[in-house]
Amino acid sequence: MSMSTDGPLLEVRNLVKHFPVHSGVFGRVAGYVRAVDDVSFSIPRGKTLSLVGESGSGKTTAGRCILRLIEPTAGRILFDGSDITELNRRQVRSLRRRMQIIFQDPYGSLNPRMTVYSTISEAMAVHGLVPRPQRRERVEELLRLVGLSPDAADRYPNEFSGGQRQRIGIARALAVEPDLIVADEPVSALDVSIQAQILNLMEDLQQRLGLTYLFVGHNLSVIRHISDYVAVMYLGRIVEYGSVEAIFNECVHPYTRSLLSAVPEPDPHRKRERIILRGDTPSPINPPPGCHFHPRCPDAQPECAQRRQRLVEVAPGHTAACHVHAPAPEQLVSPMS
Amino acid sequence: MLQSGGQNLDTEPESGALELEAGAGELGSGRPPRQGYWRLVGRQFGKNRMSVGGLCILLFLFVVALLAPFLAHEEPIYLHMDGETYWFVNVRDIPELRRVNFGQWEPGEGEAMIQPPIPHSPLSVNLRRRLEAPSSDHWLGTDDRGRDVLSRMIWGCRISMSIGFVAVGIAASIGVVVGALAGYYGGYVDSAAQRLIEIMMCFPQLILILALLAFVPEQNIFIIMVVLGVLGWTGIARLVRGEFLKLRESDFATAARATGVSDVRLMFRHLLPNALSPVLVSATFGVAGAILMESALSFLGFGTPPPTPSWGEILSQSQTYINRPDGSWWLVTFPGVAIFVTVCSFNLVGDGLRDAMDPRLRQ
Repeated sequence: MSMSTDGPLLEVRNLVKHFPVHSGVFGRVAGYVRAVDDVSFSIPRGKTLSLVGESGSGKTTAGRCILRLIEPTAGRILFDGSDITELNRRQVRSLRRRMQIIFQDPYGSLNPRMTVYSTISEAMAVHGLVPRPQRRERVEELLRLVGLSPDAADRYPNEFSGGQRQRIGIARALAVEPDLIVADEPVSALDVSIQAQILNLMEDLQQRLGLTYLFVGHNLSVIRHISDYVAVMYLGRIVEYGSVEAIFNECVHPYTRSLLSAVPEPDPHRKRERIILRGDTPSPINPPPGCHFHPRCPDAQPECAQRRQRLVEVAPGHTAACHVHAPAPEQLVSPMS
Repeated sequence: MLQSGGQNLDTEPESGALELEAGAGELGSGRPPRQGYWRLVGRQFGKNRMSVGGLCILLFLFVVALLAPFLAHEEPIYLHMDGETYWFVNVRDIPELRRVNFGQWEPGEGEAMIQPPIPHSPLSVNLRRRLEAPSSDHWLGTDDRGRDVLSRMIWGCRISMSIGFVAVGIAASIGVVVGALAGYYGGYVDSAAQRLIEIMMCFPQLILILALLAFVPEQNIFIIMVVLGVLGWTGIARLVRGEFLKLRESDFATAARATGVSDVRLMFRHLLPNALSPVLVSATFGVAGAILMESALSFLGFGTPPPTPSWGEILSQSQTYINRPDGSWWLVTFPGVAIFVTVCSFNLVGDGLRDAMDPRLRQ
């Protein structure tokens, strides 16, 4: 695999994942869930990009497609400059040395019948990274790195608390010395007090090991804390993308604004606008035409139901997909009928 | 990209940058007692008295089966004959003693013999003492060839137990592999396996076994074991399939896949240990079923070929002599009770295991 030091570590172009929906006795395909619908983004080395959205917005699916844990329907994923969507099974296995995942549920993500040592050392064995005699030492080193005592190695996951298990999960991900870690809501199943510890650990590890994170989440306070860049997803599409400052301070898209207005405000005297959306998230099997958000959008215009808006640059490095707040430049010149 | 992990990783986390979770500090100090899964199951199992009783009976039967040559045999454990001393004649083949009939032989002057507590071999015929009721010489009576029933029951315990375990061993091996493949790969593999299981389950097992045995030219207990095993895997396959369907979607399976683990390793090292509890329970019931099935076959005359002793085979002799004035009741009662108690014990242990492994019942 070619190694280029410049350029983004991960670049996703027009990623699509449709899940067929079967019905009836013979499993006829009745429709498709458009879990990820034409999504593009990129992550520079050593940075953190967050995918934010409600449940069902496709953020987890996107993360798993990048790891090739789910086969994407279409699109290209460039990792370190080379396309990984075409790799065969063997090549995918070696790819997994460089990409790892941290899971949401610390109780389900560790094999209850394997000791912490076998869980962490397995990756080294599979990829032949560390010779057997040194594995023990390396596992203890990793445990220390994530803030656990080395004697945790011989114990089973059920002997640990949720936060400790999440640390074990992180140690497992680090065992292959990856470049990219997809963190799939790594703190949303934890107590608030422990969330901060895990986030600090992740930031600390990022600085020390030069990791790149794709962080999937829905808790905006967490996202703001950990991210460099944020991509807001709604029904399988990115509606707004930008640096964390741009998204949190100068957001353009009505959906982003309504999301941000839901973040609790610690100062009781500060007045703020609260946008409450009508209705539920539409079904991803049969999403609304045009802009997916238009049935719930407070600023919707007739044309929002007609055409899908692409991401348009509203400021350098800050894009949004909204007919009203981010009109495409060519539309100003020649409005289409 | 990390070039050398050691260099980057060996520093301790700074106390300021990284506050250790309260639990991490606990690790060194008063850690709770080790709670392995099997320890938990064992404790839960111990609370069920019936099951513990069943387990005790089974352990007793294992010991009996293992020690059969030392419990019931004509040939002595210790022998001093013609100035020579022999040890363990009952389990060794000693050429110069082959012609000695220890059923009749009495130690003379300067000679000595220590025989097992029941000095009768399961196969030694004595036609002068046919169908005798229990007495001090033959504690459980004799059968239609004058063979000691107790001796045959002790040796039959071996046969019945091995048939039970080997048959279930074969069944579990096939069932686990078929179930694992079906559950893990799903789709066409699963459909094929499911249809095969359904077809096999359509046939009444006893009839199918009888039909299969009709094709076997020469009957012996190994054929019985194999036939029982080859026909008995369907239940286990279904259990394992169900567990695999559930487990393959679990996060730890995804994590293993993300690590780059191969399918085979994932199936048998990650998923199977988590799917084994129901298999173990089902196998315990399966042993009882196999023993019962072997007895039924022997009773019908299709099972263990005579003169090999098995409980069912002893029982089957009683059919002929049920019309005698005494009904040769010892031929019916003792093997019948043995089968009943063994099957009950296996079922009790299986019940206990199932309850002990059920997470919903655990405190």
